[in-house]
Amino acid sequence: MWSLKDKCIIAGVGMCGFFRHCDRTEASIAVEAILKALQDSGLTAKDVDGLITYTFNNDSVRPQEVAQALGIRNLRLWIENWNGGTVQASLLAIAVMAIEHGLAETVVVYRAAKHRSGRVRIGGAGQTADTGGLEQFLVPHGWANYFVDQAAGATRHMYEYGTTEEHLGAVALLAYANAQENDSAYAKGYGPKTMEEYLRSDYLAHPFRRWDFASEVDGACAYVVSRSDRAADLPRGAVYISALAQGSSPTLMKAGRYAQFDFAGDNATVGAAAYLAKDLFQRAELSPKDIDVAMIFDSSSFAVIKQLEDFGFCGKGEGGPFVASGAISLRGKLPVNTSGGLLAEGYMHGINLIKEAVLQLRGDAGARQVRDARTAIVTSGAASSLGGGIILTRR
Amino acid sequence: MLNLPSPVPDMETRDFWDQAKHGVLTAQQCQACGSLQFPAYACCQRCNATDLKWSAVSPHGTIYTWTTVHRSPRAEFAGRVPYTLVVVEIDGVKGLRYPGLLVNSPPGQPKIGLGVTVTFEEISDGYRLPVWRLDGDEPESE
Repeated sequence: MWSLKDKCIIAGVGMCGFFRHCDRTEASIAVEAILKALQDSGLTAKDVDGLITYTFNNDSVRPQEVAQALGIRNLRLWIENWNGGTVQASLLAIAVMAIEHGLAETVVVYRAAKHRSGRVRIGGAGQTADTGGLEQFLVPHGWANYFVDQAAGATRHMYEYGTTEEHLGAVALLAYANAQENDSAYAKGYGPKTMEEYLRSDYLAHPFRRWDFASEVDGACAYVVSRSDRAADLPRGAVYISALAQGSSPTLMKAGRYAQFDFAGDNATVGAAAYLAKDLFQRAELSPKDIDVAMIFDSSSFAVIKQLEDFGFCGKGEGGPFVASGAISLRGKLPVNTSGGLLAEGYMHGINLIKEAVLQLRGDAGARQVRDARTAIVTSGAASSLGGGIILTRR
Repeated sequence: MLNLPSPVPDMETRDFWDQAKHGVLTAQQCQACGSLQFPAYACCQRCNATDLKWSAVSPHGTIYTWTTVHRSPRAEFAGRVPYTLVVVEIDGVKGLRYPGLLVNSPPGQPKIGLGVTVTFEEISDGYRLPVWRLDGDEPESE
């Protein structure tokens, strides 16, 4: 059995937002999310001795600042990682390993960003032309943000497998429908309602429309990791960290600060998920059919299709028909991104997908609740050539 | 001349841009094992040798994939939309792929598999950018 299986739990989750615009600082919204997560786990800041965060181009708030605000007496673990959404499984792994080896007892993983109103915007607005490094080969052409890469990848998948714009639309429409049941979602009260409406909207980068991209938001999210022997103390029950894995394609992408180029080998149509799925399911001692609810890193609608294939929920090339079949809706056989995901709850680089998985497994997802959800998968960036996966379970 | 931002080369990529000014498309070639790679990497991906030279490759390729940008939040590109970007696989070198602008997009959508040829467009600061033209089209007169 995997040596870290079920050794740790996610004891609580908290969120601030998500907003279209928030005037507060990243520190302020981070602390709010963290304090909510601590309250949710029956703990206080006094119990915290580990802080982990991750950023995309230096857009979060540093652990030191959070520790100072919370009055933490002895911070024994602090980690800041770049690389946005691909790192989530590794951050959870660090928390689990640290706790298992006595380096820390209570680790908070958090993420705060003002992507919509702040100085770092994923879509590239507000950035001057940065044409050094990898960007020298991309930006002069007008290949100037991360979404261009994903759009061109989708085009290749459509060519190889006959995936259609309606398949992308099915993912987008479901995300916005789920967000309507979620008070934290940026897109509550907003978004396309029908396939006609989706197809009528303009392309931003073919084949993607505005609804196919994860939504920039301001906000914060946090979760608390503890040893499993704390499970009995938790009023809402514990969610076990049953498996973690990361992996890459043998031909990794080139990633710059503002753009990436991920077309080596088969990377356009096969992502990191295909290379890490076996480790992940083996460690959990589960297979795809055992998963009750799936939080699939939806940086784009296409990313969902690609990962559902690569994790083995459907065959290669069958992702389009699979998502259009209704299988991934709230009442389907594999509900996906029940919060609205990164598309419609908001693009906080995947930490909010962990939050939603925890709520589902605890029975706290309200109108979005999937019946008898006992196992969940959360993926981190695994549509690109680098990524991870997490399996959470409920006893 | 296209009004596009110029690249900022570093020491390892300067020669790519110098050869582009002379109308030559190059890839990094490992002097130990002969492997070709693009974009620039710190060493040979196949054998890890560090002696790499920018060597000429075929100016012909096929469209591996594409996207058409319809909206850009960046001022430099907002006025050019819609424009088409392609990933081109170089003839005879499987897996050697280049990102670039397609300068003579057909009406409707470009097709994966169509033949393209590189052409070097003058942009700012004396640089010439390797962009792509669909085969079978007359070059436009300036």
